[in-house]
Amino acid sequence: MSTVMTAQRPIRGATTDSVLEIRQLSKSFGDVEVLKAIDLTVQRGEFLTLLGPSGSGKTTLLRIIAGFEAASGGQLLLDGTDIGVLEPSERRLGMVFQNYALFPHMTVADNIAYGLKQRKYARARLRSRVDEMLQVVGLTQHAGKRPSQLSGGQQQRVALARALAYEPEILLMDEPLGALDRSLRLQMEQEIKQVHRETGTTVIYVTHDQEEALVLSDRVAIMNHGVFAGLDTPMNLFTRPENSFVATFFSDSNILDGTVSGGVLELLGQRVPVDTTLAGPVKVAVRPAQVSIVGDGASTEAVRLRGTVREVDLLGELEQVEVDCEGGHALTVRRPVSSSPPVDLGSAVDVEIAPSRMTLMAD
Amino acid sequence: MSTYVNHPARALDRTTSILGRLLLGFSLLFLLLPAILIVVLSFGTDPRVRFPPEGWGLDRYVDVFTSGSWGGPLLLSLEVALYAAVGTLVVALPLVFAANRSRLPGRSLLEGVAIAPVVIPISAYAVGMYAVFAELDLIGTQRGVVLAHITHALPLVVIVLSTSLEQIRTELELAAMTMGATRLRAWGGITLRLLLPAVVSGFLFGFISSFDEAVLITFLGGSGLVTLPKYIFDSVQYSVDPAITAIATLLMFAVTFLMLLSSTLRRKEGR
Repeated sequence: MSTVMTAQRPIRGATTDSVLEIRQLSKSFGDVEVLKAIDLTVQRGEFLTLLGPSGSGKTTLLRIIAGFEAASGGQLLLDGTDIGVLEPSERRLGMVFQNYALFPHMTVADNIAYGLKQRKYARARLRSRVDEMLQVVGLTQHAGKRPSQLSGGQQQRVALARALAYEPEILLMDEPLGALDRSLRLQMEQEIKQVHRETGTTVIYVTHDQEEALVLSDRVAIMNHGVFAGLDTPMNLFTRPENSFVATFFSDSNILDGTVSGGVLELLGQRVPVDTTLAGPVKVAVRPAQVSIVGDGASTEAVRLRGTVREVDLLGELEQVEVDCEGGHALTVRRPVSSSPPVDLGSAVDVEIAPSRMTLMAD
Repeated sequence: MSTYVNHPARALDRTTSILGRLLLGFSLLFLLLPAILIVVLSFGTDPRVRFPPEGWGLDRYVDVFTSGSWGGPLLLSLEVALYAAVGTLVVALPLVFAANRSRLPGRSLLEGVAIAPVVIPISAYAVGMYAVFAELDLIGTQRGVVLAHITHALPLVVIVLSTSLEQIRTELELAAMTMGATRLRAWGGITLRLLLPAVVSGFLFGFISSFDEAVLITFLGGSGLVTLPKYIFDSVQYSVDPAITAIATLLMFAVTFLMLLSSTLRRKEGR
């Protein structure tokens, strides 16, 4: 698994200069290595998501950037200057917390004004900036209320406005939508996206939800055991995962073991021609939507398996079918409900994977 | 009543609820009756305390404020209670911050030790203190009594402060810091500010606990230091001065008022 990855090309919606550079950053709590010599360059204006399961180190990385934790080693450069030794108050960053962390004894307007007051904004400028931010998040009518009088979504908007009011270099967001229900979460995703587009602020966003990462991000850094398992645009990570962790975590792919020799892949006892530079044992990733349940007379180029339907789950437009195949392999299939002939639990089916739908990986 | 026959569970519910109310009523009566009796007696005019009083009037209250014998103990009690309340806060505040917010080794032990006096019977505690204070020449001194009252009030005040501090998320401080506030300002302007109702409440608890304390003062006060509870105790022991019914009534109302004040503050903070 490669630990060193930096952006090689311009990012959508971003200029090419970097705002934050993380060099060989590591962190240990006692004997536990939470971050293992991480390198990361964040481009100005980009929306970068740190995605990973719990315990992968994503929140620790964010807390180190914010200055709540000290790194055990490595450098943190903001616009070229080392901020690793600075207090959180001196780092020119904004932060949105999962539990909002609004000041309960202050009104919405006072919460938003807090950062401006610390920066000694003159009264008129402060007031107009607060009004502006209230407008951005659509809370002008609630300016005089206490946070406890607001709904969860409104509180999160106050937190967003408060962190953006003083125009921080980077906005850090720690699972900000984790406490909201699904419909509100979808709505807030759109609002965050819009605010990002309007303000052009660089955002580093931590989540464990891959759908959130897909919707929001310019780039996603997938973390596992304190290193980046993958760092790319959501589309590339989705369609061309570079290892089996990224494939399973980001696109729920099926992973199969195969062997390549002389441009031919041997998979589950079948041989298909493939276009790859890899040789020897490989992992083959296939997304659930790329596996099909077929009738007779399908293409001969594909890998084909017989299996039994173990489970059918309705996901909405799609249904997910779990098939136990010969040889002990279990495959997950997703297919449109409306255009697929129904299958019964326990029935025997043929499952087919076209070689063009396979992603071959070294591990 | 046929409904109850059809629904035995509901009939049971009814019985339970009646029994519950009876129990509650008796407990209240049992707890409040002596207090009510004292209030009633305080308005009697008989030369000796008797029930029911034969004459009614404010003689006993007049006596409290004019006889001159109650003033000294009252002032001493107020003074000791004030010092004890402030002293308890001075010890408790840093203690709860160290226990809740620091990475100090042994921080959980710290809170345990502070709360420990609550499980030791106060008379046993007082005997132990007597031995220590005798060694340190603190018997019969106001300093000594204040110190004893601080240890006595500490568990309660630590619990009040630490439950409130636990409610205040550390993220609030962190948020203030990312927004440009120094550690000190984030701490003072946010955390301490939010803890303020609990601090006032802790002060009142400390004050009441000292003002009301009769055991420690009996052991440690020597012959010279007589606080109000001690004075009441003595006056009952040697001769029953009817004025104690009036002073007890006044005390009761004062303490109830302080308790209500403190619980109102805590409720407001929880909002």
